[in-house]
Amino acid sequence: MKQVRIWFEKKGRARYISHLDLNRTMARAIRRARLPVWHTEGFNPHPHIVFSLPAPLGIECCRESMDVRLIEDVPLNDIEERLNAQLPEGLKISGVTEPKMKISAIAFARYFLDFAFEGKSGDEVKSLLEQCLDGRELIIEKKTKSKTAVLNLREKLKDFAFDKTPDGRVRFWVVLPAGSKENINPALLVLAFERELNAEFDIAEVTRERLLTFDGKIFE
Amino acid sequence: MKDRIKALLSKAQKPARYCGGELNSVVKDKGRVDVRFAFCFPDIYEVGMSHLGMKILYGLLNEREDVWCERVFAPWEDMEEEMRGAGVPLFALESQDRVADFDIIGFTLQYELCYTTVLNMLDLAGLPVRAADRKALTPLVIGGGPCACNPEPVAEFFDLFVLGEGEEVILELIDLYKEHKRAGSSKEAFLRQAAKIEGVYVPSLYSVSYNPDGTVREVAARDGAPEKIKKRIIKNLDKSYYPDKFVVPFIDIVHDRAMAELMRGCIRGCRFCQAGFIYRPAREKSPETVDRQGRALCESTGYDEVSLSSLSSTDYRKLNELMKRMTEWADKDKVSMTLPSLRVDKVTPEIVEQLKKVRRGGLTFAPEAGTQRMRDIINKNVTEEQLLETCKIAFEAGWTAVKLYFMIGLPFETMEDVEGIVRLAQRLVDLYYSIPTRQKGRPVKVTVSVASFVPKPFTPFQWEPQDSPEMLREKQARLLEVNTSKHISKKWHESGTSLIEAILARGDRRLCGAIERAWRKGCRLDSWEQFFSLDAWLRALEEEGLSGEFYANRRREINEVLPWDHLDFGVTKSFLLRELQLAQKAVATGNCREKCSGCGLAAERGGVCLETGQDMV
Repeated sequence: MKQVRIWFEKKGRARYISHLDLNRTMARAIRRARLPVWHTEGFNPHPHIVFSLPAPLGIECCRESMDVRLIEDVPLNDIEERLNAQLPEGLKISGVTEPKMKISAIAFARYFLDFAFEGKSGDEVKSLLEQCLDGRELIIEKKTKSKTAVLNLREKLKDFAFDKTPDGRVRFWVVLPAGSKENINPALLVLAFERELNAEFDIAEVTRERLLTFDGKIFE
Repeated sequence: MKDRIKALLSKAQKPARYCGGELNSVVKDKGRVDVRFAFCFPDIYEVGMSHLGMKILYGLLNEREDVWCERVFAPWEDMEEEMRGAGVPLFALESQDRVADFDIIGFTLQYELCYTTVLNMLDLAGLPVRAADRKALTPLVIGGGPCACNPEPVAEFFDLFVLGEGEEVILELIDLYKEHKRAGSSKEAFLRQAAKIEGVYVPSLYSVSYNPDGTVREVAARDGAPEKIKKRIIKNLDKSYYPDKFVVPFIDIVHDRAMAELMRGCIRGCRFCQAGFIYRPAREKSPETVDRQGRALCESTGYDEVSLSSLSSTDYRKLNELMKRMTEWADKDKVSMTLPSLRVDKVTPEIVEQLKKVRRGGLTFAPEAGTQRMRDIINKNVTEEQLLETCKIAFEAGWTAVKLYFMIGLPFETMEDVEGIVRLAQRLVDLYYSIPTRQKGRPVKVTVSVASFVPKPFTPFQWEPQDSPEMLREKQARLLEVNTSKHISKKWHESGTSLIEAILARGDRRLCGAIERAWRKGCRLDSWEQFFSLDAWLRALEEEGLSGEFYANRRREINEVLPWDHLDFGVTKSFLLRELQLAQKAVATGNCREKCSGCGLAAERGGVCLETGQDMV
């Protein structure tokens, strides 16, 4: 059996597919494509898929991965083609490789967040955000099942930078902890900014661009 | 995607209910179609997407190049609040365009408690809820589904109803609509023509008068509309359209699987069951057809489960042959088959073998009543011995949980019949512990689900009163009293929903006002316990000067004009009356294959009525 890593993007309407639902969606696509993938055993056998890292609901992703085991030899680009023919709008395979790194190596993710307030220029929004980041604290309450924790997001932001979208909105690039040890949902950052500014963004779109390892390399 | 909708989706609990874009959903160029059809299911996505009828009509309509059919569901309360707050009107999933801009808005009416949701969806779409206030031809609001067999309580909200099976009549209706749209006709002119299509009921062409006691005096047709409107029947299911694709949802829905339809109608004639009468005659598909259709669906969807669907799948004559045929590819493709609606008298070793492959939860049967006398009254022709025999096979095969469906409040029921429900459940518990090969160390679990009976139109019990809410509560209390086993658990619906269901099921046109009032008081999604308000409904009825008891708890006179008498579903009133009289005497009637009971459908010469050996009455 050969393990392969399938890379995909999740955009447009597909951003609303939750992690659990994505598993089912991919399993069905694999079945439709009739790929010779190893199935779990038991009463309800289904294709065995290991995702690199669940993505929060509602964000777009540029390069995510899922690992499957092949029980027959299939050319890697064949897998890409056959799966793409079976995927719903927004999900697209961008390549199939052999896994180079362990999934446990993932420690960070690089995101870009596009912001807009109606009636404010990109530069105005940028300076508002810069003010939020000026201080030492960017506090947010993080609710878990049992308790509410107070989190200072400011010290979780690894690298960040400002940029512009093609249509003139502010684009905020940021690296946040991601993976099994610590995981910061970028939606918290949106909430923290809104709390700080005491206003709701008209547009706040989050994209996970790359998964990174603990030493900042791109996960492969 | 549209920015305003996108902004709402980011706040919704389950955005995948509203985002569309699922595999096999159909997107067309709206500039290149003549008719845009919004297929509305007046409940949430997870319920509506499980509905086979919608899948059939969605596929059928989208086969036509000149039509684009899209799906619309009721938003859950979080989304409704966001939509109303942001001023975003009801939109269709595929295009995200406003429903109000569609040509035809079609609602499927699967249960009475969806009526306020219909009004809420029209309102969310920005349309007046009453047909008379929507002056233009477009959008046309139409209804179909089982509740259309007595659509009087919602008659004033719809432009027309389609009676019976929709596959043919919907196409005829669209052709006529296209002509009238092109000619710039008025809505009235279109409706007068539409009323001439068999199976189309235009309520505004009928006026209803009432007697001083509140019963219907007369329903009078005008402008050339037919006196009686006949339901449509698809005679040959092998030749009828069936989709080879289903839209595959992202989120888990109620029935998330492929469905191969075995047959329509039912040979049984259980006297409480509306479906058993309004879908007559029973018509089977050939095993070749079912096999082909089931396989195509599994291949196009990637589903690993296909259900062999019908009202009574174990009555399908070639079930073993079919399962053998399907197993050939299903095993290889890791697809499992499931059988809903098992009859306890029909479970064969082959079926048990098939069920063992899936083994999800317990087995479910519907004895419906606790004593033989009561089962004879309702014509549920199964015996206690058959139930015990079947459960024995199941327990021996390793099952430890059984679920049983019952009803209370059936006509001519006594407390002894009610107690019989628990007694029957206890016998199953005892049976389990008497089996030496049972799963040691695992206790048996018998779940008894008890619904309150609701008398429905076009059944022999259509004249019968529903038990009062007090009486139903007393019967529920008795069930609790007589049960002493910890292995038996009981579930039931609140009697409030059954009462409103009973009022709406056999109601007349005067209920339109009450439904509108209930909706204005905030009622919608009434079949969801958390939204149902009996109080709001009772106040709505009262304000409208109507009595709930009149509709729910009154025994109708045999010669009374019933609000649905001008609708013809094939079964004759004399047959239903004969069946009521047999029920009174606790005499069962054989199924359609044993002996034709002369229900009236034989005139159609289809399905079981044509099977060899049938001697038609």
